[in-house]
Amino acid sequence: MADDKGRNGGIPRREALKVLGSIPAALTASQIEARTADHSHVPAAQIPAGVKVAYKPKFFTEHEWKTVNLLADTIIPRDDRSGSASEAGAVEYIDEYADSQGETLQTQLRGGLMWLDRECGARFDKKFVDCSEEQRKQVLDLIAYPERTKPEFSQATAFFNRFRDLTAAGFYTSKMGIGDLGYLGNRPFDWKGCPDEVLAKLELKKA
Amino acid sequence: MQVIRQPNVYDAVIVGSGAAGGMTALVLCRAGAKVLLLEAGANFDTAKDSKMFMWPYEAPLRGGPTPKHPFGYFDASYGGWTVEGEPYTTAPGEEFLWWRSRMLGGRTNHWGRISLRMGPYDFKPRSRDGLGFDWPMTYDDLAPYYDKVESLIGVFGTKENMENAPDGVFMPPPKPRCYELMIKQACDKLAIPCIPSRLSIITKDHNGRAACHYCGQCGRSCATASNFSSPTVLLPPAKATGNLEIRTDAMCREVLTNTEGLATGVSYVDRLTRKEIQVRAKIVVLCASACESARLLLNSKSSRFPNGLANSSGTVGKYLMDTVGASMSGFIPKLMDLPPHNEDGVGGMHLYVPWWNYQKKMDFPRGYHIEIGGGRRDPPGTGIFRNAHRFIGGGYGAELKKKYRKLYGAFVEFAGRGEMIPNDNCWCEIDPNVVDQWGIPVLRFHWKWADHEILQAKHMRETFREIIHTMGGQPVEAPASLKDYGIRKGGEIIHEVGTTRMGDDPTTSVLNQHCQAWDVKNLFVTDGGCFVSNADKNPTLSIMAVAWWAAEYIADQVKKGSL
Repeated sequence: MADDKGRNGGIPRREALKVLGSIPAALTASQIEARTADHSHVPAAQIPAGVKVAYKPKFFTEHEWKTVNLLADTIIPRDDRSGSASEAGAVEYIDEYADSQGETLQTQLRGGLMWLDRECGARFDKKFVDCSEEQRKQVLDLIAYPERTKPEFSQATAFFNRFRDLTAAGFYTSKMGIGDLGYLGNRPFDWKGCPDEVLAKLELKKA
Repeated sequence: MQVIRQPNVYDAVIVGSGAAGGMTALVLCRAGAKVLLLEAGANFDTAKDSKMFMWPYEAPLRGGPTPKHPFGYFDASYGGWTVEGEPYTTAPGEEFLWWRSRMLGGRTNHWGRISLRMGPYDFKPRSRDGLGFDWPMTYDDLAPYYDKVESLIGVFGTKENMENAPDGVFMPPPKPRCYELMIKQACDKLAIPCIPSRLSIITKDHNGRAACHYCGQCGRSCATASNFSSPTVLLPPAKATGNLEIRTDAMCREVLTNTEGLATGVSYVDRLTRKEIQVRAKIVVLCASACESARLLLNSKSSRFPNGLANSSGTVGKYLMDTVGASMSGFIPKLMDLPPHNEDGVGGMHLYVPWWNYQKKMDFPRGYHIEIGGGRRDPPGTGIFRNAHRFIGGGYGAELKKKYRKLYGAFVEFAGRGEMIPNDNCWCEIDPNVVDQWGIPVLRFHWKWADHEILQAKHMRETFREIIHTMGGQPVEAPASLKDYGIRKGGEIIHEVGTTRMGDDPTTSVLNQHCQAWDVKNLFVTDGGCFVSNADKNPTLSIMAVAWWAAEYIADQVKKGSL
């Protein structure tokens, strides 16, 4: 791999790192290979099924946990490039993050989930998780677009903004989400400047 | 409590193992002195303890910030804005933040590696505009020491012949990233200079250290020692002399003195055993960080030194300075949908903007440089796409996911780092009521920005907006207008200096130009406490140059028999 060629006598960079005894001792060569492997396209089908069964939420109640899973997957669903928020472990992140935080965030999340159930109850006499996809959409559309949200839904909109951000944080810091974005770094690399095809797209001259 | 008095007399005891302590130790050990180096924190072995190459999903809370790790899990800092059992206080209604890294090498493990020389004007600011104070030295005095430091640690950069941003001994810089070229293009249009940055990251093999491998993770500390930190660059050659002894977990309480008013050593708490140990030395050098060294002096009271040691001028703790900081992100539509590419680069910016208006009359004194960031640098963190609804109007589902992909890498960030003028409202003292878990009285901070700094922050933000607009982008503005133009809190830029300043006059300064206490000739402070001003040049490189200059003076005075 061209990226691994050092500029000092052609020693592969990764070898140079090993020779120097410089990789943290806890990392074996194969772990480094794994960590520096190409993450750009992780097929969603490779995500082992049933991974989440063992997870016991620390902050959310059992009912909230179902709602959180459904809501997160509605925000970031599976598509042809990657899996959904829950498949990426974003919901576990949200639970652990909420658990680590103070009362302000915890109450916002708990209250926001309650608002969803109440709104669904008022409209359809059902909890959010028991609604049809179309019914859920009707409710979420009230709070998912901050620029056109009605004043009476401002708090629920703030909740949804927060939940959306947490879902994105959890998804895009997962192996799956990082691959989805096409982030190619976090490995030894031989930086040679902005690639030609990017320069061309940005209409920039070569430095 | 039983105090263990160790009879061995070292040639020098140095308190603190960061930029100043490491450098002072190296120069003194090479001069043949037997040196004891005390570090308040734990040992840190970069090769073993660095979190280089870890992915966010391998870390607690995806590596995001927590009170214990304010800069995230990967940050090479044991400590932060708070240290358990070691509080500090602030005067009512005032705010100051104090970052402490309790570890071998201190803050050099995680710092930004920005290595800018102070320029000729920076040493004589009062002569130029009547504000603040002049240094008791000139650029020409310190230039040879900048040369030595850069040659030792390795700094990249380019020769630019700028009057007040002097060139150094430079390695070749890394090529600019894509978004950096766009920023430069906009700056060119605005006649703002945008040039290769100057960071202590080696782009060629240097003194047995491997060249940078461009993972962009300097802040995690580098397992290959390809950037500068005290434990990887200064302490190994100091140890190789056979003259250095290092003790970690040694929390210094006070400097000891004798009836002649000379320093005789220090008293410290061994954090692991909670025992008090006194060590003796012919020379005491404080390198504990500006505020911690001031605290040590103020806590070293005796009948001879009732206001604290080396404080006959009353200026210990005064003239505390930080750097003026303000920042802004911009959304740059042109950066959307770029072909995936690895632009981690070095652990910092490849280009920066040096201060360009220094010959113009502005509505604030002095100036600032601009640090830039953005693009696809670094593994995605938990802040990714936060508040993205401000750009994409919200939403959810497959459509949102597509928008996130488009947004990725389409942001740039600008951070201004400017010079503050020392003022009478920014200082620290011993809190009369509070001690830390070792029973050592703690610092109480006072802080108030003056209009000088607030107007500078205003100018920073106006400049950022202009650059972002010139790039065809949209500034990311907070929904409500920011107090004082978003100037960061005192201490938040982690450039505290000035609390034991040097000068020509013993009645208005703590140290002479060689960092020697006016009141106690065998006591030195070679950390940022000795600074007289705080130019927009991040202090670490200058701390090391001054420490080298002072340590050479110490060795010379010993040789001459004056110490």
